[in-house]
Amino acid sequence: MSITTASKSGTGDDAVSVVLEGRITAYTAAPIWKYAIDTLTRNPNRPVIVDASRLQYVDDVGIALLFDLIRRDRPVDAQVEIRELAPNLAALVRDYEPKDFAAATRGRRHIGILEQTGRATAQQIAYLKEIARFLRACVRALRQARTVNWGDVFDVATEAGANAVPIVLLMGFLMGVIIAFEVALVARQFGAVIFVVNGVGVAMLRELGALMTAIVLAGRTGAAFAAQIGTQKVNEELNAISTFGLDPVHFLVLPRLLGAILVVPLLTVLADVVGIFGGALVMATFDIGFLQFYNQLLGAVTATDFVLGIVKSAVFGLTIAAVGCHRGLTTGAGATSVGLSATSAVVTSIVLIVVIDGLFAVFTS
Amino acid sequence: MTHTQARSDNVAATADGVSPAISVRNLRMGYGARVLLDNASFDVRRSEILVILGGSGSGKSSLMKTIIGLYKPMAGDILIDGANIATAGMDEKAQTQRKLGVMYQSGALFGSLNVLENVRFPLDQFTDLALADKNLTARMLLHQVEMAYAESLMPAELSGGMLKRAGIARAMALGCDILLLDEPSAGLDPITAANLDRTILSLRRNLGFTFVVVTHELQSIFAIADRSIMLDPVSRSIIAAGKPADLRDHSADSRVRQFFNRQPDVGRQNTRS
Ligand SMILES: Nc1ncnc2c1ncn2[C@@H]1O[C@H](COP(=O)(O)OP(=O)(O)OP(=O)(O)O)[C@@H](O)[C@H]1O
Ligand SMILES: [Mg+2]
Repeated sequence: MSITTASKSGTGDDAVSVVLEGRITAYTAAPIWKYAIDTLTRNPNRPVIVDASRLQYVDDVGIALLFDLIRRDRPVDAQVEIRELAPNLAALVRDYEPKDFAAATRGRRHIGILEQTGRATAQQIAYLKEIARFLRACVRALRQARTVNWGDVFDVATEAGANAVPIVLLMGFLMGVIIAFEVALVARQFGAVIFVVNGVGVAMLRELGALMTAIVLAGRTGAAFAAQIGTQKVNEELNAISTFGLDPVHFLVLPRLLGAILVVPLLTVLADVVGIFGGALVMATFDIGFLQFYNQLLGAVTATDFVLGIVKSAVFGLTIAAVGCHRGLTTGAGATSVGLSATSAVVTSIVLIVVIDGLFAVFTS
Repeated sequence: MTHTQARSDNVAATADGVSPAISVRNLRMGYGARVLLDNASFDVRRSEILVILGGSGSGKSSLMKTIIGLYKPMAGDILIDGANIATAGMDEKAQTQRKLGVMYQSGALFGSLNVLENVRFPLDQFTDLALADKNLTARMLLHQVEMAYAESLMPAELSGGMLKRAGIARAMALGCDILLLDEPSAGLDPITAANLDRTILSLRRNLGFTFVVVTHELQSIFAIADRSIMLDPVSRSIIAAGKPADLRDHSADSRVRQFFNRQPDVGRQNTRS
């Protein structure tokens, strides 16, 4: 794999000669290719004679190199000629027409900022319309909830609910412990440790139980919904469902919506209970016994707090499932878009959960 | 440059023309407890086009994936250029696999890259070629499979036949001299399929490449195959090996003749005449 060039003297035509020898393969071609093309560009007005007689082995990259040498536009008296190329290789090089490869690579068209803004706006408007249409379809589907396949709902409830119990318990417990501990440290300075019970109770029941459960579920279940339905879309399973005359929303989305609406409140109850239990454990170390904790808690929280948390969690569940399914149904083509759908399902539903939580806070305080 | 080393050994073996490119010895393979092929032995000679035949579900794709080391055989040896891929460690296996150009039945293009980038991918990974040179090589390969016009499309935008053709171009990109193609011409129109056969023959004739091709297309089999082997899921063995024309005309096994003459099963044969 070496290359030599020498000006032929004596012939008078002042030709440059390039000798290719040895093996030209994907792994060895880089320096040879560079050298050969450099030689051509350095001698734009002299004929070039490529001696291929000593080539031993050439693969497709080598063929591309040979073709690259002869395809260039050069003056008539400065042509490149490959001599003594083995007939089998010559046959392969002849397969290609220089004009087929003349066009330069088209660069990406530059898009101005105005156009970008316009496109983004149009996209958002289209997305909002899309969401509205989807919500209508969901409502229509919910009205036919009686005809849903309860086996599917049960599967969803198992996967999204039962299998999520450990993580929800852990999160809820830690929430209770952390809040109780942090607040108690401050409250102790004011001799108000007993009121920490009120804080833990109200915070867990009204806010944190539902919120933390929903965020865990958004990451766990929302992403899963988007990925499952997205993969089905990519594999044309959705098309198959449609052509059987089935409604994908009824068939795929409804069980997930129902499943999520059912399990998120249940999980929230669990989170509430273990959170308060965690708080009670911490308070015990601050000399507030379980019985005292219990009595204080009964005075501090009302059934409304509990019910509010549960209602919220049902709305969160609906949001997570709807966003996840919608992202799945609107998945583009290819594996990459499944990943994008799953990511955006999580992000969108967490944002929506926080916004909805804020709205609840505004309208219920 | 360990690659270079491995490849020159490879070609030295080509020159002596004796050692087979792939040698399968007493192979048993399958999934879990289910054995698809037992005690199978065959060679793929240098610069030979070997066609693997067999009914749908007989294990052709599985055999191909076992040969290239994706599945571990239950028993037996698979020698590629003399290296046993069945027992090789991670590094040795990767070295061996790099000598193989593979087109999967579904194309297996990378969804996040366009067609040109897919074909260029192995060149990007394993060579120091300049971008323009890699692009030219990739475009020439795409030209071979008549996909030049589609170079900037994403895989999700391709038809089934286009996916396959792009997959073939990618399999050839590193200049691997052993190519394994799983149903390359299934789903292609007759003209494109015939052109593909011509490309395969030309690469074999002019560059001495070795091919293992899984195909059902009878015309393609007769056009390209030097030899063929036929898998049978019932007896879990290779029930025929030889030139397709010989098998069609002289095989003692009725299933083999049935396959080549495209005859339905016996129960329905009566209604034909
Ligand atoms: N990943 C897998 N796990 C378990 N069994 C499998 C797997 N892939 C294939 N099989 C089984 O192995 C058998 C052979 O499959 P394979 O894909 O190799 O068939 P094939 O001969 O390539 O068929 P076709 O011509 O339809 O492509 C089939 O019966 C299939 O059920
Ligand atoms: Mg197959």
